[in-house]
Amino acid sequence: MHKKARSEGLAPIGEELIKMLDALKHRGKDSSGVTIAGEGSKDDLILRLWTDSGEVWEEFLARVEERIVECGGVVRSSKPWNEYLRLTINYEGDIAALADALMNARGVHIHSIGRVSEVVKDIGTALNVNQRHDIGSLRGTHGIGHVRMATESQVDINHSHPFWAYPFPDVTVVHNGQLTNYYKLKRKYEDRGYRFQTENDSELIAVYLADKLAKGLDLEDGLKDALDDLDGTFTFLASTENGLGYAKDRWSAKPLVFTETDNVVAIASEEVALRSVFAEEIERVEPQESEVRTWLI
Amino acid sequence: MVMGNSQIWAPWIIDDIHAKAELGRYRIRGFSSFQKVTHFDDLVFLSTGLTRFPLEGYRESCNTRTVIGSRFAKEPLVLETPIYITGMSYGALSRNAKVALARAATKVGTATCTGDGGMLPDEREAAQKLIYQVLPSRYGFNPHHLMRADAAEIVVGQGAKPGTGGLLMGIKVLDHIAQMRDLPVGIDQRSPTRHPDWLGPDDLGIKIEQLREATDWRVPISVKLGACRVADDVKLAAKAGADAIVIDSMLAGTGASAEVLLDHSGIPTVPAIVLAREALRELGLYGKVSLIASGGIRSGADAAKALALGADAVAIGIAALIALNCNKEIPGADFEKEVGVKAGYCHHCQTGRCPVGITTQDPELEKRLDPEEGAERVANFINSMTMEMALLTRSLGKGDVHSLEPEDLAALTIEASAMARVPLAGTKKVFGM
Amino acid sequence: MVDLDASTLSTTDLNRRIKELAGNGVDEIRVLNPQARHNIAVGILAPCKITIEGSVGYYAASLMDGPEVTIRGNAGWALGENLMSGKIVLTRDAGASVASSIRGGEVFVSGNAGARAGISMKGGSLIIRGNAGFLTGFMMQKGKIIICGDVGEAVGDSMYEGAIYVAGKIGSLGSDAKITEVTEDELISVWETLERYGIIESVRGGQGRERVERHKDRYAFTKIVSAKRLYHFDSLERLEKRVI
Repeated sequence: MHKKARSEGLAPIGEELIKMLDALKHRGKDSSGVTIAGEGSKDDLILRLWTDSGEVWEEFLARVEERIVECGGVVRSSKPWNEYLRLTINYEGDIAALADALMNARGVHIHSIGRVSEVVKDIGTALNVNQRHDIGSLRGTHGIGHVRMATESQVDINHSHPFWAYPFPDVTVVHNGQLTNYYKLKRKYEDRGYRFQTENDSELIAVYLADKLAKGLDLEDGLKDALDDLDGTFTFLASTENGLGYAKDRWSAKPLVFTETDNVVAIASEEVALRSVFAEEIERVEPQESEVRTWLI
Repeated sequence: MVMGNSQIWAPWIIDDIHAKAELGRYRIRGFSSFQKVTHFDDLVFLSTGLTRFPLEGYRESCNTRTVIGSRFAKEPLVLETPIYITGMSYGALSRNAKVALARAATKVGTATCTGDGGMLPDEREAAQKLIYQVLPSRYGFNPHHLMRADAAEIVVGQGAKPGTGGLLMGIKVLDHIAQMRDLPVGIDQRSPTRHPDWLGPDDLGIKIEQLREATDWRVPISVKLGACRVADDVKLAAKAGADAIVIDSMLAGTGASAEVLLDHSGIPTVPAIVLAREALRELGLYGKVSLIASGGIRSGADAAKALALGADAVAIGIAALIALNCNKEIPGADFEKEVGVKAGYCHHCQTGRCPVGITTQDPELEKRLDPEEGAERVANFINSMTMEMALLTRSLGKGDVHSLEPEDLAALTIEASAMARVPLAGTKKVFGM
Repeated sequence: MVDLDASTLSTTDLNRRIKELAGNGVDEIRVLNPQARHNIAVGILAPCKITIEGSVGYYAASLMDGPEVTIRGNAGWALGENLMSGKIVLTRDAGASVASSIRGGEVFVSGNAGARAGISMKGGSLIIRGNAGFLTGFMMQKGKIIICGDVGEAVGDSMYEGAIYVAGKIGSLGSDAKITEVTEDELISVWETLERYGIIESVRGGQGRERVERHKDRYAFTKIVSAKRLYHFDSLERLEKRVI
């Protein structure tokens, strides 16, 4: 996160995240992804979608636009490439309704909905993904990223991190570890009306946090509750409209370090990733077990 | 008047509950699972008839040479037979047993493996090829030994007690064992479950790199897994950079394990091999990462079937010990008096009172095992297994045991068909697919 | 003295060069620009002096027997793993599992150490000038850990033998760990170690008891050892009672 980016100008978050993820590629080569929180605009939402329907992009775009209009939204801009689609829309209704309408359409997967944030994720290493999606050109105030070594679920685009927390705009999560009470919790949230697009336990963390935020808790309290309610080992980063935070697992089994200056805070699994953006030696902090911390812009 | 016998409240279950009512803890024993499971006996080979050309016994030889770990290692392990001796600790086993096994391996041109107790100098001397285990406990672990080993094996788990660490009862933690393991004499040793320095599959890659740096990338690094979540575990081990993966089924043996884990955790050998093979295939690494199967390999037939299902090699444990005299009423032994059961029914390795001198630290009992004679017996047994494999292979018209493939098999039961993914004999149907 | 620029060498070439130089009896080897990389100085079995100018990643100075290594920076996980003999000095913070399963030698951390410091130690000494984290000394079998700062939760959990000396606060004791008396000799030995690292000024002067009396309030340590209640399964099977 670049703390002064809202006032002093957007920072090269995309470029920095790619450098950091590349430094961590030994931890996962299956897929990579980032969330970038940029400027956004007061009225619009950014949508990042993906399809496996196999149709030509014009048809996919048309179907998606139709759904958006049905919900009462107006499409401002659209940019499709391969199976991806980035849209900005004007929409003032209930995000859950919009998300449902899109997810109910054949072959539509929502990677993110946000006022300022968007998720870019794909198969391959960070450098591969950057080449295909030009993440390096994205500027913003803060972001999170992930390289994946698939542990229990499949290797495919939708199972890559970051996961967006349906139906909360701008809330995304990246996770290192494996939840061991995933199925039980997933069924509990499904019974309450939440929707999951994958069989990946990391998506549950996103939904869990979204639920806490929806109940009015702030990010930090949501992260603290997560430590009690989730079983297994998990260290994760969450990104919201206004900041980011980490939760470090209670067994201190998953690595995490960060460094903070007046202008920047950078968090990663290993120091070698921080060194990819800080050439000189840094003050490194290693969070302790069950620790939670957030930074707001 | 007895109206019937309960299948679930069987006599041994009743006895088990009586014992626990006195004991107040979980029960511990050696040997392997008592569960009745689908195993290699339910698979048969489809030898040649008119469609294929069988090979003669002597002139048309059958290759059994096996190379393990050529993915990244400069010096992969080359064995004369696809059967090697698995890791069993010095501590669980006596010194004479470890030396006998090492000599036997050398006699037949194969490898043996250290175990959860470190490398015994006598073992290193006697074994031409020695695999050095890296376990959660790191008892006796020594970088000098690592660099003198022919391969290293990172043990994530073993089939007899997946998800937990090693166990050696205090009766066997005598001076020399205690010293090697840096433990107080007589303690009931419960090894850690996890490795001290790496905690997840993403860290494992860095650990493997460390071992490679220490051995200058010379030797194969394998990862041993207890067969539970096989597909995921094998993929992770392969992604982390292993040259070879050992998949150890629920039928694998142990010197001492909690009975709940022996019988109630892990899957049988047949499906474990199939799942492992498919996991490697999905990654495009089948044939590049060596796959070794262990757990309940009792004969050349079992070994051949394991290879047919997809393994590149097998490791034997209990079978090698039985060849050494386990459960044999030898002169000088009195099973009934010494361990309370007749020879053939003993599974009391954890007591350290082994009447044939294998799983004991008592010098008097150990004398009953002569290392040279023991080596001769185990070498004979491995030779028998290898000849059995070769005979079966030739009967299938193949000149190389590594040509064995799943299509050579038929299943005798529906379960075997489903677990092995081969057709039920007499049908074209593979159940469960 | 030979300088090796890590930024121009692969990890494997770097380690090879270090081993070669150490084997040839070079008196000091300096590694520049380590950039927090993993597996630097692994498997060095000859005595030599190595200085690493900067932070290192995981497994730095691990699987070693003999060298004296100084690292001017932070270390990642498992610094000095399985050290047989020799010395490692880290000028800043260590990550988790520092001195994991060391068998001899000495590891000194000038800053803080993360979780599982000294896990599974089988000998040797670990000295931490700052604080140490969760599960410090977990499953320790032998050896000595000295912590000048505070220690986190579950210290000394499942220890077999060995001793942990803590000057600061203790988060909580681990299972089967207990606090015990520190003898005068032990206290003096701890102080002498800390003097060597310049952590406390010389407490020389006076004999045993007198010296302890004079300094014990300022340099007090709590000693943690195994309570030895988990050493044995507390019951045996009928069969085992008979044959064992």
